[in-house]
Amino acid sequence: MSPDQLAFFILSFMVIASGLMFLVSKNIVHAVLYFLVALLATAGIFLQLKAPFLAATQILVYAGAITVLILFVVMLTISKEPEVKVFGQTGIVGPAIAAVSFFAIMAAVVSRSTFTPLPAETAGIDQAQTVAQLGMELYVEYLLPFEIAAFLLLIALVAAVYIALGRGHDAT
Amino acid sequence: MPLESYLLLGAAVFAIGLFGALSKKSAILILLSVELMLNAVNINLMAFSNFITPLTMKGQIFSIFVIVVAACEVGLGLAIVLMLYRRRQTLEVDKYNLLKG
Repeated sequence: MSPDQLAFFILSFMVIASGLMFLVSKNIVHAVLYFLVALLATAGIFLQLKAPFLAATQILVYAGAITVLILFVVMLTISKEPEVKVFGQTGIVGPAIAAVSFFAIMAAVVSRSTFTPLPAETAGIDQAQTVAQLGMELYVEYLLPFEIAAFLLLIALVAAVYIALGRGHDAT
Repeated sequence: MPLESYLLLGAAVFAIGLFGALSKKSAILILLSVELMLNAVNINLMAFSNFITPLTMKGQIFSIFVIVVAACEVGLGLAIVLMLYRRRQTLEVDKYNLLKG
């Protein structure tokens, strides 16, 4: 087994195992931390897929920003009684059927398809150049979507502040 | 590793997120399950980017925008969660039943 395969198996085991622990853990803070482990292992998968910039972004945005934000909200909304039930009224049978059948369909589709690289793209790629190349692509060819995404972030920020302030509403 | 194994990993993570989003009781954990599903989409995009278009990296560009939208979604979702908690003093989605007939 090559080191590449070994790394893939370890990382995907970490992703799936911590995802399952995220599903079953009773403590909400533990669930958030398992979620964090799954995202960090996904960053390792991104490194394997020759996407170092995306791996760094994944760690910065998810581990650095989103998880801390979620832990703050967990602290702000701490409930009086300890959480005893993990799953809601829906039960687990229906969701389990949905998830398992989704995975089965995807596995069937993937195993029946053949994927070939685009003819113009078969030349090898240099790992060291990818970040510079990605920056050129993003700021030259995709400049307008980039600016729109920045504006979307601004709108979401303003809206989040407005909603969270909740002016003029009483607790009912 | 072949492309198929990455796609299967993405499908598995998406299935875990789907199960969590449908079955979890806490509103925060439902939000996190949706994040897990977006993350599975990112794995797929990155795998296709690496195997199908390795030179132009279209999948990586696309996943940058997916991450931006996911960050927006978490910010807004957590604001809504805070507002819901202030109004109903609970985060259990089963208790939000004002529209129940």
